[in-house]
Amino acid sequence: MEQLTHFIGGFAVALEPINLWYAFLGCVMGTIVGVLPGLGPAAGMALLIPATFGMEPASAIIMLAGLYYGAQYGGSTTSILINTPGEASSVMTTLDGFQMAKAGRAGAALAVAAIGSFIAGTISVILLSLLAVPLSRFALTIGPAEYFALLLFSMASVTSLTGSSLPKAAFAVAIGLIIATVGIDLQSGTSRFTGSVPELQDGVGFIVAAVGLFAVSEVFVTLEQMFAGKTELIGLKGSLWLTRDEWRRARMPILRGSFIGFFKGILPGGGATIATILSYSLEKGLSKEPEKFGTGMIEGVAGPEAANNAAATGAFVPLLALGLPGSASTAILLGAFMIYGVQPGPGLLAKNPELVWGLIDSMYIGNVMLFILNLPLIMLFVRILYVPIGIMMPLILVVAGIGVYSLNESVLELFLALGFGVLGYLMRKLSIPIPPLVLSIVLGGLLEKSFRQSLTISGGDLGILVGSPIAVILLLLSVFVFCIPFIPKRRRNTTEVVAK
Amino acid sequence: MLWEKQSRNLAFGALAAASILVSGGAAPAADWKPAKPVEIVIGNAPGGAMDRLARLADGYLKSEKLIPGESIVLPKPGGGHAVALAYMKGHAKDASHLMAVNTLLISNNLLGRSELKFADFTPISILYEEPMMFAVKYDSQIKDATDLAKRLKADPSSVSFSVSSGLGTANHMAAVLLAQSVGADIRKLKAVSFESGSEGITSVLGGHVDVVVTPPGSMMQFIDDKQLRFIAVAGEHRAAAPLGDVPTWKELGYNVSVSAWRGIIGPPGLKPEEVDFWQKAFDGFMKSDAYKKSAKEEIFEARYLNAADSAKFLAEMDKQFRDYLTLVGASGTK
Repeated sequence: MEQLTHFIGGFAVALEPINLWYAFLGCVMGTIVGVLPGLGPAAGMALLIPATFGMEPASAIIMLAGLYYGAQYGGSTTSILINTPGEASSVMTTLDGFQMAKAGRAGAALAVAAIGSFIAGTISVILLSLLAVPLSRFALTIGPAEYFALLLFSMASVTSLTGSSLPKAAFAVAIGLIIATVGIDLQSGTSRFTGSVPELQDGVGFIVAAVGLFAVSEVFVTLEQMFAGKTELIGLKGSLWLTRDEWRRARMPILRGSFIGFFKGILPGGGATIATILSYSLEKGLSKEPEKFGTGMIEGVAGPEAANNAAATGAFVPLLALGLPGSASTAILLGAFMIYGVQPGPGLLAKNPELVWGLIDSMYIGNVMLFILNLPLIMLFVRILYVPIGIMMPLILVVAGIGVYSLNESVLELFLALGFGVLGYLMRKLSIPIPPLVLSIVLGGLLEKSFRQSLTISGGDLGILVGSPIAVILLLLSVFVFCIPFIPKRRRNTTEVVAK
Repeated sequence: MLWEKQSRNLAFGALAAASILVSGGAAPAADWKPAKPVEIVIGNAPGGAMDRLARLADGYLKSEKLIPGESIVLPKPGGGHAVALAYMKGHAKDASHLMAVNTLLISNNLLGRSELKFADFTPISILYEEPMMFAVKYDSQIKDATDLAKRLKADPSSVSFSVSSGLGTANHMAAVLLAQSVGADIRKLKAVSFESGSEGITSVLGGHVDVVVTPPGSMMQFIDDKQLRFIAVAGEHRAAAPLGDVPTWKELGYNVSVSAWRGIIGPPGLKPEEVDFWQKAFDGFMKSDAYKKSAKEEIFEARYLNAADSAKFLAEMDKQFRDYLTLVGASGTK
């Protein structure tokens, strides 16, 4: 009952006009940050923090949080329209989202992303309101060994589910894992494969790789097609909105994605990215026509887009209940809390209920705002498809270049992105899927880290990896998922035989 | 509103700069003041501990009107401060640039991550230290510091330590020194690295790792909530008020003392009057209410050293770090 009082009290804070205004500002900035490749939510919040000095702590945190979950709405836009994910958590959306756009259903893809984000955002805020404290205990039971198993499962899913050919996807994953080893090794503290270049000490960033592999290589491919005289405008077919059938197919993936995303969001590391992989895997696994994934299935957009939004909200559970950030973005939010003299931790809910519940309740309102904000934007964004290629391609290069340069003001990273562009072009020519490469750059470091942390704890005994039921289940699932590509083929063969 | 204030400050700064030009060389050397806008550089993204220090100092410079012009905090993240240090090096002899630094200034060079040594820069002041705490889960089998030392001596692999970001941090050094002082084989020490202090704390709360070695700031909530308890501090003397009951390793007979210090450096080749201006400014900063409030919240131990003593201190830290590297290196830690 006390919780209910706080819950209602939180709305008193969240509905103050000034806080509504800041939530709105945060959501607008989040949408922009999400749409622009390069500037992610972490960097966006870091830029915004200095501007919030002198504000009330509640207002400042409501605005920063708005930017954070707002960025998850915008992230899908570039994935769908120009095949360039702005955040690691929108890589999965490129798989079917861009294919939908090619088939003239860009409006529906953007709409389902917005609807999915809204539903997932709302469901996960409800879960956050109800379950924050008990769930934070659960997050603690996930140690390095369990985390390793979870990452292995994600990597196995990526390998077996994202391409048409398992060896090609595995090849892409292997290259990604190699690139992920560049940088200072956390456990031994030595530099690996940095060639004495200081910029490489922190490893190869996601944005540099993604911008090069997706955006720059897209420009190369389009250029080639233009010279060959094969380009055509994609255009739009049918309504901008979802058809009845599309909505029927998207409903359940959104719901499932919301729950997967929220529960993954609670666990530290990998953030929303793993949640999108899990959701995509699940949808492909449950689908009656899994072979159609990657050709523009709305389920493959709806699930991951719901999952990444829900994960962003789930990440507030350990942050608010324990004061422990699980990702770069939430670490910056934690820093912001401390700047305003609010110490997150187990005592936060008891000591600052107005602040915590004001924040949580502002997220209900923020999600409605984002939904209303994003729907008209769809009309605007789909027009991008009608921009002539001669204007669009240089524009993509400019935005991509600014995105990369804004990270560290490093010219070297611009050249790296160009190099990745060439690599991406070659991969497209050889029809090697790009998403597994990018995702393994993001997750490879975490995979290695958790593996070696486990072995340091156990003193080199591999037994620790199967030391808990959660780890065992996840490892078995990894093996299963890796075998999936072999299953439908046999089933198809049998049906063919039967048909004969 | 903000813009108005900024432009007023800019105008004021221009005026001050002009007045310095007019007075020319006539002003006595001790009266040096930064004529250009002051940049306080940090090697991390905003939001972290170094950012809070830089902003606190920035606020002090502004509120006390110590500098005639503007001042900003300038984050230059990347390469574990390497990018920011290179930026400072590029502004040699320009006293309007300061950088907030910590133990990475020493360790990055000795670990081969940065070409730049502490001696390449002009030390301004050492400001404060964070006490390095050893903590265990509240219901841990490990009773106290002596019990931990005993277990480590009997079987170094029976206890695992969470040491934040690993080799080269004061956290790791403290765990290594403890193993050394009980005569345990350092190769068998289970020192697990995490990307941040809070990840390390999470692993101990979840029972995955036994002991966390980290400054107290982020642990106090868990101490108050009876989820963690402190067993020892790796310092020369006990820490202040809320931590006064926690024994030092030294008083228990183990030579384990490290310093997680914070300080301010300037670019290479500053003039004595420039150094003098800044060291006085930071002496004043350490006496300010803003610092004291922050020190109380985040649990810092003041340790102000002027420029000359800071140079000596950094040389000592450099030596201690070399000894530690020999210790880990010689015993073959990967």
